Amino acid sequence: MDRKKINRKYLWLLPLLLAALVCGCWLFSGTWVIIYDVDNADIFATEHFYKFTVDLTKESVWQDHKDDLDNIEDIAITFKLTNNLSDTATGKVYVSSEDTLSNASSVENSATIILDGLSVPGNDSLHVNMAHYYDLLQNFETLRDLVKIGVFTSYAIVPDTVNVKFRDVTVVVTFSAGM
Amino acid sequence: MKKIVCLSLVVLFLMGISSVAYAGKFSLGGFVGLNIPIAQEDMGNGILYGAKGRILLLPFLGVDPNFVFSQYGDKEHNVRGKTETREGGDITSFGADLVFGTFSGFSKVRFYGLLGINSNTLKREKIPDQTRLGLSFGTGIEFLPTDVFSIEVRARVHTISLDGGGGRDNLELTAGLNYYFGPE
Repeated sequence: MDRKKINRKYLWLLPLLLAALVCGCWLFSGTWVIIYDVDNADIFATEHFYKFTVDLTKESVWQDHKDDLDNIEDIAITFKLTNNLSDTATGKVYVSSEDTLSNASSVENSATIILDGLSVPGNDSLHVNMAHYYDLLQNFETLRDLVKIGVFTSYAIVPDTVNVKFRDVTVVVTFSAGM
Repeated sequence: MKKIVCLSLVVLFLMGISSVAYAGKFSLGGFVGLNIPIAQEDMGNGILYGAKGRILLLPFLGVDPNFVFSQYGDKEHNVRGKTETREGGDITSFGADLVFGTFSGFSKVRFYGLLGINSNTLKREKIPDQTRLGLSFGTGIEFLPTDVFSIEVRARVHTISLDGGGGRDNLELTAGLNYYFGPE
C-alpha cells in the first residue's frame, strides 16, 4: 500500500481528532456548590429595613476556582421571617453591588428586586425554602451577574408597620469553572 | 455556532443518504439508560432515552443520527440541618455520531468507537433555557443474533458547552435494540 492510499484511508480521523480537542476544553470543567450561612448577628435591621452582605471570596471553594470561574449557574436564598404582631406583613428582597443603601426608598431606586410577594400572617412565621424561593424569583440574570463579582448585598424591605424578624439566611450558589 | 452545527448535521445527513444509495444498509432503533453527571455538584443521576439510526458508509465507518432526551436527578443540599431539594432539569439533544469499527456482514459481534456532534437544549426551573453545541465520544458493542436485529450497549461521554464558558459533562450508559433494513 503506497503512502497516498494510507493517508486517504485515515483522513477521516482528522475531523474526529479536532472534535476531540475541542471536547477536551469542556471536559475539564465542573460545577461546585457553596452553601453560605449568614450569621444572624451580621444582619443589619431596623423596623422596615434589613440588609446583609454575602462575601463568597472568603470561601475556600471560591478561592480554589476563582481564576477559572466560567459562570454562575444557580443561586438560591433561604431564610425565615417571623411576624410578632397580629397584622399580616408583606416583604420584598432586593440585591445590589452597593452596600451603602440606607433606607427603603434608596433600595427601591437603586437595587434590583429578586423576590416579591412575601407574606407572613400575624403572629406566625414563614420559612422561605428553596421551592418557595424559586416560585417568587425574578431578575435571575441580574442576580447572576452580581454574584459573579463575588460580593453582593441583599436588602429586605417590610413596608408595613410591623415587628418582623429576618433570620437564618443561607445562600446556595452553584458556579462552573475549569478544573 | 448554531449555523456550524446545522451545517455539520446537513453534511452528515447528505453523506448518509449518498451512502444508503451506495450500500443500501441502515438501521433504526431505540435505547434507554442512565445519565451520570461528571464533576457536577448540583446534579444527580437521571434517566435518558432516545432513538437513532445507523447508516453504514463504509465497511469500517457509519453515521448514527440520533435524538436523546436526558434527565438530571434532583440534588439535595443540607441547609442549616434541613434537606433542601433542587430540581435537576433536562436536556433535549439531536445530532449525529460517526461510528468506526468493523461493520462487515459476517460478524455477529461488533465493537466500535464513536465521535459526534449535537445540538442541546438545557432546561431547568427558573433558569433561562440554553441551546448549546455538544460533542460526544465513546464506545459500544453490538450483538447480532439474527441478520436484522441487534442488541447494543454503549458508554458515551456527552460534553455540552455552556453560556459564559465551561461545560457540562455527562456519562451516558445505554442499552438498545436496532432493526436493520436493506440488502446484505
